[in-house]
Amino acid sequence: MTVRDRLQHLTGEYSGKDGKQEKSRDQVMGDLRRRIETIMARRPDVSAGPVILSSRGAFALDDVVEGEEIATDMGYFYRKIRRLGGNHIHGFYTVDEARDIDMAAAALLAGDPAIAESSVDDIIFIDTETTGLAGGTGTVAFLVGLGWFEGRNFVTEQLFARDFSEERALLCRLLDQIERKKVIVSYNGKAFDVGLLATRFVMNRLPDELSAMPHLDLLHPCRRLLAHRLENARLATMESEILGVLREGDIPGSEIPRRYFDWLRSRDARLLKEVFHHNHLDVLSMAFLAVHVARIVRPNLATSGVEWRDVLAASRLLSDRDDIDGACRLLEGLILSCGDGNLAIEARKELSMIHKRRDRWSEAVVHWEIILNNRPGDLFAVVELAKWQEHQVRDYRRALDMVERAFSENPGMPEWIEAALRHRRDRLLHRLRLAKV
Amino acid sequence: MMARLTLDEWLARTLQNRKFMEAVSAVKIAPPQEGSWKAIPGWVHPQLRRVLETRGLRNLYSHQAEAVELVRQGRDIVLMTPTASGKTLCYNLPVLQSILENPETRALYLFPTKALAQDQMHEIHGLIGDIGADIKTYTYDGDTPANARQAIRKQGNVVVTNPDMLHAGILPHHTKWQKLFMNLRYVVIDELHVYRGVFGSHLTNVLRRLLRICRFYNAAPVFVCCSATVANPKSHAEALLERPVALIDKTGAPSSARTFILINPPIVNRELGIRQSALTPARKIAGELIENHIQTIVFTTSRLNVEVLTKYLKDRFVRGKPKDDQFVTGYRGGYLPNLRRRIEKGLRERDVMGVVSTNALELGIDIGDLDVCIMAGYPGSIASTWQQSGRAGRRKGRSCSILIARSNPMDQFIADHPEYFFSRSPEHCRINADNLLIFLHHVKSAAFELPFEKGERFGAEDLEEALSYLEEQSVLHRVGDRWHWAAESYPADEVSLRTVNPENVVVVDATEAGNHRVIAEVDWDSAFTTVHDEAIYMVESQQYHVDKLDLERKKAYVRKVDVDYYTDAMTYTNVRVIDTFDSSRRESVIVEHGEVQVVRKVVGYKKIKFYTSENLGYGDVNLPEKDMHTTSYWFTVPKDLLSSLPYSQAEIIDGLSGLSYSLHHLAAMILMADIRDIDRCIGDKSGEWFVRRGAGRRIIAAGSGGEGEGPVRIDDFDPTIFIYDAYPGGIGFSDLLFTQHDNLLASARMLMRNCPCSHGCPSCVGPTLEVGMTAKDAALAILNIIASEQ
Repeated sequence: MTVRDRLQHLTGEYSGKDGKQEKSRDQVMGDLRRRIETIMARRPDVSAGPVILSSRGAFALDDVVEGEEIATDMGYFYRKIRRLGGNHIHGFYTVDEARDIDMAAAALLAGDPAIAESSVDDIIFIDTETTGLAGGTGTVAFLVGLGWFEGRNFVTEQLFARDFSEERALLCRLLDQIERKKVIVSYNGKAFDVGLLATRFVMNRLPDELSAMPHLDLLHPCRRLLAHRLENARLATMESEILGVLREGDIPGSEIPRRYFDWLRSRDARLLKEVFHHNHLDVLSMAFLAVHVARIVRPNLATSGVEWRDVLAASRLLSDRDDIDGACRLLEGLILSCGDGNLAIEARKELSMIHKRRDRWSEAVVHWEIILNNRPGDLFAVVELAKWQEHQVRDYRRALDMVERAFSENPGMPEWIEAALRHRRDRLLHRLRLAKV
Repeated sequence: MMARLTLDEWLARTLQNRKFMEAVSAVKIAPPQEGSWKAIPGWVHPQLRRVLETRGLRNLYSHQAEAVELVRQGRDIVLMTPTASGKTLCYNLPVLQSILENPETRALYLFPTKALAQDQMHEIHGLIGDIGADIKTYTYDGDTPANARQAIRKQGNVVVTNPDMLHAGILPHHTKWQKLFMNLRYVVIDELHVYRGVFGSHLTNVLRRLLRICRFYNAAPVFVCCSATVANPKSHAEALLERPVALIDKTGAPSSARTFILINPPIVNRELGIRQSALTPARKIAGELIENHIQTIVFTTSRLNVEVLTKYLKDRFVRGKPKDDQFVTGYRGGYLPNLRRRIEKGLRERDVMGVVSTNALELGIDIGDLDVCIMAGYPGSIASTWQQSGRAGRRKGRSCSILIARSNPMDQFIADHPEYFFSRSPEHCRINADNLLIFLHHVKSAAFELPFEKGERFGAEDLEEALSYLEEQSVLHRVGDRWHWAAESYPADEVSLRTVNPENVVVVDATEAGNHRVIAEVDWDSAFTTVHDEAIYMVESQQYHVDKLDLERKKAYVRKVDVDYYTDAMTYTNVRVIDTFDSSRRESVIVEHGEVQVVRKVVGYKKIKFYTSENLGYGDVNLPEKDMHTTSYWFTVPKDLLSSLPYSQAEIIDGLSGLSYSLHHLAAMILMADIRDIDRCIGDKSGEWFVRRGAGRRIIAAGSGGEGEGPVRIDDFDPTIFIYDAYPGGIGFSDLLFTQHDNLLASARMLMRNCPCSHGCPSCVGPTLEVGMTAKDAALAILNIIASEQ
């Protein structure tokens, strides 16, 4: 028996009795064809375009995805380039607006000062489509989407390996493009794309120029600054909720590997149309998100489209990064712009705590008192004032007044706060008694 | 208080004791062995030499000197010398030397368990600390924290891991381990004898993958293998590595005189053939020795027995003392690591005078040298016996090993034939790396790691055909002369190196609605017999009733109950010959081996009352058949010969069943395999008829036909006894059993003849309750007509 026959016996695929025979190659292809037709039927909006059946009888790649074959010393690959003019609109922003990325803010967000030295033209945006999420040496990036600003345009270049054999040429082109740039911007690229490409470089015995480059991974700032009011921190969510982009004819990311495998076997290019589209939008959205998050941390420029509560989140991020001046600047701006609303009060609380940590008591007290004026009996403000009276001013009487005020104006406060307050009151009473003696 | 006895005095006194000697079936005394030394080679780095000298090592044992010299020359070696003969230095010395010469050098150490890896770390850390060089060693296993992993990948000179981690964690991510692979000079595989059967077959394939990756990075490491006693160290190492290996098996380490005592506890119920538990004498002897401060280790065959015996001994010695007093203690897997480390230290420093252990202490964990080793039950192989026995044995003076037999066929065979036992060579380690299923799993993993090129080789099978098969399965994609991994999955996760079927069934306690808890996992194969609908499943002596086995979701829903019975599944097995590889005639029987189809089905279960073993009733089970192709050894007895015997049809069936019972157990002993690695069946070669256990006794049933056909008579077919590999595709046991046929039958005859039971017992043909009252006689009669005595 041949290896194949024995395997079929062992795996139970073959069962002579039932007459269930091994699937022939034609049957496999038949199944595949049926699946493709189902996919196409499900998405009439996309396949509705003028798809021309090529002379070879199948849907050829260059009929479906407008691009060209590139020949290099390392072999061939396929490339699609698009240029979007300055007036092109993507959600709330135009390309001209998106180009206005504050590099100092980007450096702050990435935690890498080198980025501040670069210009917008030094950025390369990267997003890959891969054969899986499992990672390891068996996962390949078959489509690498790149983007950059050039003059007034935003250019995207999609590098596509029509088969595994074209990977090397694709990676070489990627290296050439990277060499011209200084900063990578990605979405979750630190954990995924760059690591995966690093593996691909090793597998193809090419140098990994990517891992050491300055890199702003937008996932982290988006999670900190925006996800607090969103369902999750996925790029698609950011895109619709923050940029106001509604995707049409898109494909879920989880279906992409399967599409590529089906393409490898069937060479039916219709499978890829949505994949290119998906990747293109990802690259584009990344660029537009970059300008948006940069604006949140440096809102002194044109601040349209920025939500003040995101600025509050940004101040916490800066404060965690020990950029206290930056945090104060954001909070002060927020207070000025929001008058006496809830957000301003939140900002005052943040700011007062920064002052308190730096022993700038008079500034802190001003904020607490303003809060109390606006929100009589505000628990945070009274408690902080009580602490200040007790430990800094050492006026136990006034401190006790504050505690009593906290009790009387906050019925139904959480139990643990109530316990802490009661403890404080007992201590103050004790101190007052001692003082009398 | 009486003066304490030395071991010599205790032995002298005990071997005079008539009552003690009644249960002793053999005493064997081995003389002490002189050591043989050689100078430390001149090329050894002065720093390293100084460290050895501060440890009192001015010379090396002759085998160590030979080993380090060969490794230095770049030869692959396998080292087989007794426990505590300084094997680890044989690889640590050349590895450290090479790192001192070139700090970029990398070495990979493979140990079968995490505990051994930890122990090895301890040792090599000690050496490195004394050398005072910047040499980094790390363990890399499932417990390694994620934030430490990057440093290990980039900086570890010596990475200590296990085959499972290499398979699923390192090889599929080899690009992250670039530094290691580019500079890999040595691969150490310790405890080589553990890698036999399925585990060994997997390891060979993992090593094939490792070598492919080494070639990619232009590395050609030297392999250093160490093994405990096995019959075929060289051929086993060569089978695992698939390359020539130099053998070093002459020890230069001195050893003390050793007294070996074989004890067979007295029979307490002749009818049922039940002997006194091996734990009883073990407790008594260990108690006496520990009282005399003679340091003793007791090996038992189960975790439960460790706890029971430890309790008895603690009751005797540590009553009234603080609870954590470790004068006597247990030791087994499941104890927390720092407790284990404390016990090991206590043993080395002789604060712990008695330890009761599972085979967890059999492998090379450093516990120093003890005085006496007691084995409560035959450890299952000659090799393990010597390995456990080696735990006792100082360089000077005397040591003693005591083996206490239990009631099963293997133990009784040894107790009855001590001369056979002492003269026997240890077992062969066997693997079948080209078992197609194992091979296929690793071809997938290998393709994931690096695309296959046309003309590449991977084992002995036709690789290209396997690749095109996988291409049709849509997991590989061929471009030109290369096959690429083309699926989303991570193939290394699909297979476990140690179990037969990686799929598990989860047991869910649904006693409280809304608070379902997972209480256990059962492997796929056992699930059919242990957690079928209506079964009673037990965890830590709590009974659970299985309400529903959901095979699709791989879950068994159970709820707590308190009943006075347990359940025993009734299965039938039907074997059909597909292909005969070889055939020979012995006397009047035809002996063969080849490929078979095994169909197994659980048809029902019995309810059995606790203590009385009374049969309380039956139930039906409706589960699908399991179909497996594997390899088997079998022999066929002509029906005419059987009908000449003075027994009824039913008695002959019982006799054949009894015979297959003892052959099954003895085959496991000869193969050094677990009893569950092989299985047995009686039928005819076509699979048309087979013997199954009905509600009452054995009946002959039709293989493919339904129920209700008329009774089949034994003289309707030529009965065949099959002993087959329990792993799909086979592991290579069958051809060995084929060559061992005469030996197997002769052993069975000796076993039955010398068994003192009257009608059959668990030690020979199985309990009479199962095989009937005439099985032993009938089995012997059958043996007489199919095998003449030499």
